[in-house]
Amino acid sequence: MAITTQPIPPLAKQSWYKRNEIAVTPWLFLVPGLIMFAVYVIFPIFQSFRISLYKWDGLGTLATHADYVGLANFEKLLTRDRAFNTSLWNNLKWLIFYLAAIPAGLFIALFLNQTVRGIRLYKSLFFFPFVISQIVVGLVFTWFYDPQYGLFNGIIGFIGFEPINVLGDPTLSTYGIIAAGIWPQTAYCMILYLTGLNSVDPEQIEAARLDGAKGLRMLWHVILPQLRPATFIAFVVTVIGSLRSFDLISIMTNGGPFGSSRVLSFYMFEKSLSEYGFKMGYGAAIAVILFLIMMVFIGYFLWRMYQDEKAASR
Amino acid sequence: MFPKPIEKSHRAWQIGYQALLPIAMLLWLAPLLAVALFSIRPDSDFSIGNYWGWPTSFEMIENYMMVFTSSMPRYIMNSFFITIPTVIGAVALSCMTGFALGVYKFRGNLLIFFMFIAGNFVPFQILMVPVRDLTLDMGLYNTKTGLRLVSHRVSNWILHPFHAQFHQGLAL
Repeated sequence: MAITTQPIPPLAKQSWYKRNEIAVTPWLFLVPGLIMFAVYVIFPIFQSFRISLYKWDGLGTLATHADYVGLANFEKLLTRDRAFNTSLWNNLKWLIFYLAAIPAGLFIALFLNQTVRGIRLYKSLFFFPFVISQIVVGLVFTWFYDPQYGLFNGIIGFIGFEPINVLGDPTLSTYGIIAAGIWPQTAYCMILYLTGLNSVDPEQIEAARLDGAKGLRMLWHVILPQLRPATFIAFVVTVIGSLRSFDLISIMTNGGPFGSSRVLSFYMFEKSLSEYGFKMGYGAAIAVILFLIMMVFIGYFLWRMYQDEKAASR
Repeated sequence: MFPKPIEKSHRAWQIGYQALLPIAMLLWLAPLLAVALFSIRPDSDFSIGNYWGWPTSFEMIENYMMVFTSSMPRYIMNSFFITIPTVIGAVALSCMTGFALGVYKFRGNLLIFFMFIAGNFVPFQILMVPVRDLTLDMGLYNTKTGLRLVSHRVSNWILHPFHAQFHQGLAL
């Protein structure tokens, strides 16, 4: 630390920036990010809300080439659109079954939480499915389910079942895709839990061991309560991930068969930006509904973070 | 440490665990290994339905030569052209925002932080139509610059408080 030998100039003689440095600097750093964020996130969200009130094919501008229809798009969606119903149900299936990634991730994390030679390599390799593109995951699982030659039918044939065309069956296709999605998501939850297990208090474990706790009882009563932050983040990330599912559906079934594996995000894309149509207003209405559903979870997440923040600063 | 450290258990179980690790890993990565195996199979294997058995011949050089003489190199270059500028921009932006939010205490700090997190979780679909319009208006539709700009949204990821921990998880 250099010791200032020169007298500090009186306040009035310093430049405006010098006087307000502490207050101004953070904003200088924030401005580029905030502008980007406003242009590409905040503003489009409001615009989507507005577009959802119009009937518009995407040509020209909203003011000159679109018809204002009020809430008609929403009314049609919620009362007369069966494809929307299917998509919403499928979203719910995704939401529920995708959560299986959390216990699966915990299981693998418990399995790998050791300090043997090469364990870091194993941890990294177990994490690998999350890093690779969902497109690749989708392709691999499409081959896996292949009705004629797929490994899946090979396995169930081996234990005496008739072959099933998972992705070609309207009642099964969504579950087939969810199973593919759980694979990378489990890897993600595993990492979250591995981190959590590292910060588990060893003294508490020793104390519990002295009291005779072990195995599942130890896990349930001592470990899991301490893993709550990890579980919370895994829950939020998994829920949001399930509602954002798009790539896998697009690759594995393209919404089919007969639109039975569509979810809201996919249906929106199909309605507004794919080759099937340019119903921008209708698509925006679907997006708004999906947004509102997700905001419930995002709101919950932020609320919990706010509570933690308050507790920490107290 | 939970579960009980393996060094403290029976010798047999230690060896069992060490043997189980690679098996579990192979099973876990089986789908990927299958793709790797597919990439060296001859076409004839697929037409006769030999997906999962031993390859009838190894066509690694032929298959990969075919890939690199097709239009794939162009696509991979496209990936680089998009990815590299995007990553530079995203890291620069999020370093700056992360620094401002992490180091300085000012009014609205938490609010802005939460806004970035919320924006990161928002579904792409709510942005699709307006961002397409915006890109059209700026004359950047069907250009790489347009794509790079859009991809910057990803930048907020780095702000995640648990992201640092998250990588720690791998390192430990």
